[in-house]
Amino acid sequence: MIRRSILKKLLLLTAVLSVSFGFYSCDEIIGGKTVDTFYMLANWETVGMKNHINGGSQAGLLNIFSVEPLIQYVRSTDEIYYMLAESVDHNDDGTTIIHLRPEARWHNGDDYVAQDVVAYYYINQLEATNYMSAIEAIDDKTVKITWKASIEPNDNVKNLILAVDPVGSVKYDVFKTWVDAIIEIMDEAPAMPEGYTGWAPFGKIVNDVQETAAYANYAEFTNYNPDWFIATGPYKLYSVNETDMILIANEDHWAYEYLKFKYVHSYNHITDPTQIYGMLMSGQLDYAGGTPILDTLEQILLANENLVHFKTNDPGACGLLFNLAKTVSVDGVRRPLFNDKIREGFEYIFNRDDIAFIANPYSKVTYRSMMAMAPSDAEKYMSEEAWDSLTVYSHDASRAAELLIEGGWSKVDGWWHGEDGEKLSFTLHFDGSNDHQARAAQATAAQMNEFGIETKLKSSSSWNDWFGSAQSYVWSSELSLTWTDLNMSFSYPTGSFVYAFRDVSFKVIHLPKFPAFGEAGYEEVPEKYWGDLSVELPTFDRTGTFLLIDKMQGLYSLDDAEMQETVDDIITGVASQNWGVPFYQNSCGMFYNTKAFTDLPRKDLWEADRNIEYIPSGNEDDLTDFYAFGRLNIHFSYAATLIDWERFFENQ
Amino acid sequence: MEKFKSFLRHLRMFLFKYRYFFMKLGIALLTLGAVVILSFILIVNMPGTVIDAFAMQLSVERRISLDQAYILATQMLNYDPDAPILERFSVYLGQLLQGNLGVSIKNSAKSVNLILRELLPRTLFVSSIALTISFLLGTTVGSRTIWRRKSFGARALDGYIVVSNAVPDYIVALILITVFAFNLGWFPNQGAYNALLDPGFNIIFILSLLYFAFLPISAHVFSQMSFWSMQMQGSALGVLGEDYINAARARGLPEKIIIRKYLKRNAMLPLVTQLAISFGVMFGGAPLMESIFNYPGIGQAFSQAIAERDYYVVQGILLFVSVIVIGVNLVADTIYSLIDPRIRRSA
Repeated sequence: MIRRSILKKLLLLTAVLSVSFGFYSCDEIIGGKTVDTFYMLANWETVGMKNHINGGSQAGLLNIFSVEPLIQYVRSTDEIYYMLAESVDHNDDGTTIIHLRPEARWHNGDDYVAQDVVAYYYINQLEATNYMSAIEAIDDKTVKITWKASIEPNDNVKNLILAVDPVGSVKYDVFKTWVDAIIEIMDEAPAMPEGYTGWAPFGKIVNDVQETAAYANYAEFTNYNPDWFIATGPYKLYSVNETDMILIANEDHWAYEYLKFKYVHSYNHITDPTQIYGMLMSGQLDYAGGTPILDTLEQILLANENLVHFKTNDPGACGLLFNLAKTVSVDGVRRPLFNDKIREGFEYIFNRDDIAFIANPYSKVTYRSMMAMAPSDAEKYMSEEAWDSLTVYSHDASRAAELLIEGGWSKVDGWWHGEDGEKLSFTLHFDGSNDHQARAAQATAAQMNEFGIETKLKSSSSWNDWFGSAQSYVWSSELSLTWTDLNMSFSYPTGSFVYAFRDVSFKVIHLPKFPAFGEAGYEEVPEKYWGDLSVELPTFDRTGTFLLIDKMQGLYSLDDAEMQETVDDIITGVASQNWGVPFYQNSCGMFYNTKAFTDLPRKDLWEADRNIEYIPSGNEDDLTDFYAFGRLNIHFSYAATLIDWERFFENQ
Repeated sequence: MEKFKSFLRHLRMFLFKYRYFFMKLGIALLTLGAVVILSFILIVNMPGTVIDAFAMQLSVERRISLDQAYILATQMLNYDPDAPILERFSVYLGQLLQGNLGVSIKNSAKSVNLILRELLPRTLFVSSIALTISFLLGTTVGSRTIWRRKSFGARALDGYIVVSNAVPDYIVALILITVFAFNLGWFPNQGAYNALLDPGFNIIFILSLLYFAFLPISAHVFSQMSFWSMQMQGSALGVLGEDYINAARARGLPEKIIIRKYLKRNAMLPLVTQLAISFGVMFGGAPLMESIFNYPGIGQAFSQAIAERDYYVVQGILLFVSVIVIGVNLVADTIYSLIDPRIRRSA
């Protein structure tokens, strides 16, 4: 009886082992890594992914390697590569002629033509169209753009503007219904008045009825789902399911012979750092972005000897932003919670080295005030005299205390009290999905509490959630830990100012604005200022003041000398206000598998130490490393990373 | 007239005879109504409204003013937050009655119905296998350990049951993935099948499905088995002292027969309701487990929707799971009343 039961168990064990061996020996069942394939992570819709990137669904690798712009720029270095455009000629008469590559094709084999470029700009009407007064197809492979005379960008900026949009994503034949409809609406819309500088794509200002029709048309366009993924890029869709997406090199592509891999394979929605680190250590990934804390980084490199960790310059600084809308009642009068002295006092409270080290050990500490531009960019674009004139603060608790007392605060029983005599208790709000900012927020709150300012933390689960709350007058906290200076697009100096004063920072700081049309007192303000920032700043030479909004308009049209003068004025003016306390300029980290990606730069460095600490800033005499490192960041340079440009240019 | 009276009499008798079922059905329908209203209120009371959140996203992405983005968002979602609440509720109810559980805020191609159609089979595949194995193993272990509760083996198993019942399921999942996926590399750490295979009813694809589901199923089994064991132990303890057990022993029946036919069968009765609820909950997937294994199921879609503030998807999945749980409870109550007539009569 006993023997029979043992026999049964042995048989069962044998069966289990046989099946396991069967599984393990059958590649078809278990999958696994294949040669000539690049492995990375990306996010796409688990179900319901649309076949065009303008449809509002996440498209993962397709967004990175399948959809091409006319020109690809590398964020952080501004290096540009011609993609769909073979060449671009900027003429003195305010026009630009774009010559499309003769061999540029859609993934279904159709020719990529000039009408497709026109279709993209008309249907999407993004930033670039505000600088255009017209766009037309001259012939199948030639596009002519006429720029608005009032705000015509300089040639350098024109290239960058053309490099922002993924133009190879709207095929006219496929989206004809909606493209024709919007062209008709725009044709009927009245032209903007002469000298108008507000929003007017193609120099037209639509009325309410036309605007409603245009939005309804756009909604229909985004909701449409074609039966193949509309793209022209170097890789096309090979297979996709809920968790894996595989792209294959596009044999029709103009750079096919220069692509570094035949396949790109990505895994979907893996956001848990532990899982990402596990995949890196076990060799499942050839690329992953991010810089973990030092111990973890070294552990990962130790576990997988094929990995190296590069860092590149990130055109963004992180720190505190004050919420100027917060007030305190003193003798029945509302006064700003953070007055000039208090804000200046905050500059001295923090040991920024410690915060920077905790947030990202490879970041660059800054002891200057908020400048609306990352320090490395500011140093590059400002005159030496202006850069040197910026105040360099320090960690000085006694100086901080002096200034806070001058500002009306007092310290009682170890805790700081406000002008109203009440104990201060602040909430520091941050985007919890950003690792280094989350760490910086914790270190900042700890230092504030240690200094005697009671501080609690509030985390949002995404940047959008943080921003939604931070810009509100009702839900916002006293302080935010976020990007104090950031360039979200090309590094030309204007990008940072746009982030600070048109898109994000000014809303979080709650800077004052002129009344908008219909609001009290709007009639006393010139029409061109309605609803705009009403901030006035001192000029760099301190001989006068200027309205920030005046300097913001027409930034793209300035020549180099005018630009430097403007940058000097804006940055020194902003820094004098102490609207924020930046702690560090961030760096972007990337793991690469040296066995898969065989032409990584600076082998001499990573053979000596696989944790490469050298970060080119762009202020070096020789910019080779700056560009080479910048290109390694796939989320900054997209498909340009996987094209062997050296060989491509050799053979042209 | 006589015929009508006879019909009414029969109807009354029919209603009286099945009063228990109709009462339960009424309660289920009321609960369902409450769930529909609550899920609608959930969206209406989201801070800042759904349109605001979407407009914010559009404003940032498209660099247009918040006012412009608000109009665009209203157009794209075909939803007007300023409309009277009853009008909005009637639109919502109308869509539900047409079988439309909702569409993603951000992507019109992503509907809750599509999510259920694509991902529910995967969730059910893993959960049903795990539930079956853990129930069978758990009840067997539970009944045997209670029968021989003084033996060394039973005590050791008891120790395991207590410990594993206290360990959260995601810890088990993390241990399994770290050891068997990352360190040993025996099993994949993510996915539902080899991406190079075409899905179909063939042996290679089925084996691939089983291979990729092995770790998620194991994690479920490890964490659920102890629950069923404990439930079984509690129930079996009450049965042990019954006369029919003693009578079976006195008749000299083999131990295996007593455990299987007398102890286990009777002790399992109260577990039926619990099993039915587990079956219903299974439809909602296991958000944490599926996220850890990156297994594409309802639970993962649910947690992603929460993370992305995709309120309509959250609402739709919640409603679906609630309906299933209510339905399954109704079925369980009915079955239970059929098995045990005392319950039916007490109503």
